[in-house]
Amino acid sequence: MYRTIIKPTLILVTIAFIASFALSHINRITKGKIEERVRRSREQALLAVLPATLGYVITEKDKKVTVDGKDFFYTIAEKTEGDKKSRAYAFECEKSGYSGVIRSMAAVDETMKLIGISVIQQSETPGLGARAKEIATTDTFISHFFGSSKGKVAAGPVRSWFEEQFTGLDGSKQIGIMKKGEWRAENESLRKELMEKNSVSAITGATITTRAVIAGLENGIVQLRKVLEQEKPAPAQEVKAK
Amino acid sequence: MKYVHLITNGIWYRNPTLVIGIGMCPTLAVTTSVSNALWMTLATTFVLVCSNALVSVVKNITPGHIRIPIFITIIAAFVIIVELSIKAFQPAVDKALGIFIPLIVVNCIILGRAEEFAQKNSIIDSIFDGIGMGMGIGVTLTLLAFIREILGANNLLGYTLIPGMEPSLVMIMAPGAFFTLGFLLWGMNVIKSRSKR
Repeated sequence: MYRTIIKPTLILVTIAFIASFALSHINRITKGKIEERVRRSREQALLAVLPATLGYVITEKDKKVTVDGKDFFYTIAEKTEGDKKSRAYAFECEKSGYSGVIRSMAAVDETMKLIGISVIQQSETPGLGARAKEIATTDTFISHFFGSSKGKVAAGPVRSWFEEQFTGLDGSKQIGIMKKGEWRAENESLRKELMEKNSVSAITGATITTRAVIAGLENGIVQLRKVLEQEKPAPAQEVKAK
Repeated sequence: MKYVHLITNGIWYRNPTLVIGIGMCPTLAVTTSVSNALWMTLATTFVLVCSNALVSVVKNITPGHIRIPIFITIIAAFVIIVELSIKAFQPAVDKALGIFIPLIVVNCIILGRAEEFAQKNSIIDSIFDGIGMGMGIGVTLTLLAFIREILGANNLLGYTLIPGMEPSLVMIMAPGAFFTLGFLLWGMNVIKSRSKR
C-alpha cells in the first residue's frame, strides 16, 4: 500500500509543486513584458490602418461590446472637415488560415468603405501565405556587403502590397478574389479593374490565406454593423443627417 | 575523452534525427528558414540539457511505474519557461515558430533521452549527452533549412540571393522537406558505408 500508492503520489505531488512554484515566478517576470508587446503591436496596427495623415482623431479606444456571445473590440475615430463630421471604425477580426488563426485589424468609414487593413498575427507558411505580412526586401547579399543604400525600408508602419490593396474597397459588398499576381500601386489598370470588381489579387500559391483574410474581414464588418445598429442613434450620424 | 565521445555520439554516431530517426515532426516543420532552425535548436537544446540534468537528479527517488509522468512534468516546466521567455523577449521568434515551441513537450528526442540515457547515468554525463544531442539536432536542422531556404525562398537570413529569380515553391512546402531529408540521409549513409570499408 505505501510503496505502490502513497509514496508515488507524494513524489509526484512534490515535483508538480516545485514545477508550478518555479513557473509562477517565471510568469510574474514575463507577464508585464508580454502584455506590453501585445498592446504595442495593436497600437501599431491601429496606426497602420488609420494613418494620421487622413485626419482621423481617435475618440474612443478599444470599446468592448458583446455580439452573439463573443467579445468584440472596436475603436471609434472622428474627422472634421469644415462643418461635416464623419466617423471611422477600427476593429479586430480573425479567421483560421492555412496553418493557424490569422488576426487582422481593419478600419472602415461610415459607408463601410475600407480605409485599411493590417494583419497582426499569422502563422502561415513563410514565403507563401506569410507574404500577406512580409515585405520583400530588395536588399541583396551583394548590396549588403558593398554598402549600397538601395532598398532600405522606410521608417514607420509599412504594409505589404497585400494589405495595401484593400484600401478603398467596399466592405458592405462581397469582396472577390482574382488571380492577378502581385499588386503594385503604380499598376493603374490592374488597380482600376480590381476596384471595379471590388476584388483583391490573391497571393500566388496562398489562396487559402487570401480567402481567410477576406472571410475574417467580412465577419468583422457584419459584427460591427450589428454593434452600430444596437447603439443607434449615434451623435455623429445626427450631424451627418443635417 | 568520455565527454568528447558523448558529444560526437550526439552529432554523428547517434544523431537523433538522421540515425535514431526521432523528432521528425518539428524537424520538417520549422526548417523553412535558417533563423527558425537556429532558434528551434536553441530552445530544444535548452530543454534537453535541463531536463536531462533534472531527470538524472531525481532518478533514485523515481518509482519505475510513474517515471513517465514525472519526466513529462519536468520537461513541460522547462518548455513553459522557454515559451514565456521567448514571448517576452523575442516576439519575432514567437511569431515565426508559434506553436512549435510548446510542442517541444512532446518532442520524442527529449523524452527519449530522459528514458534511454538520463535515468541511468550521472548528472554530468547527462548534461553532456544533452549538449551532444542538441548539437546533433542543430546540425541537421541548419543543414535542412540552409538548403530549403536557398532553393525555396531564394533567400538566406533575410537577404535575397539572386534578385528577380522565382524560387521553387515546392522546397518550402512539406514535400521539399521530405526530399531534402531523404538526400541528407542518403549522404550520411554513403559517408558511413565508405568509412566502414
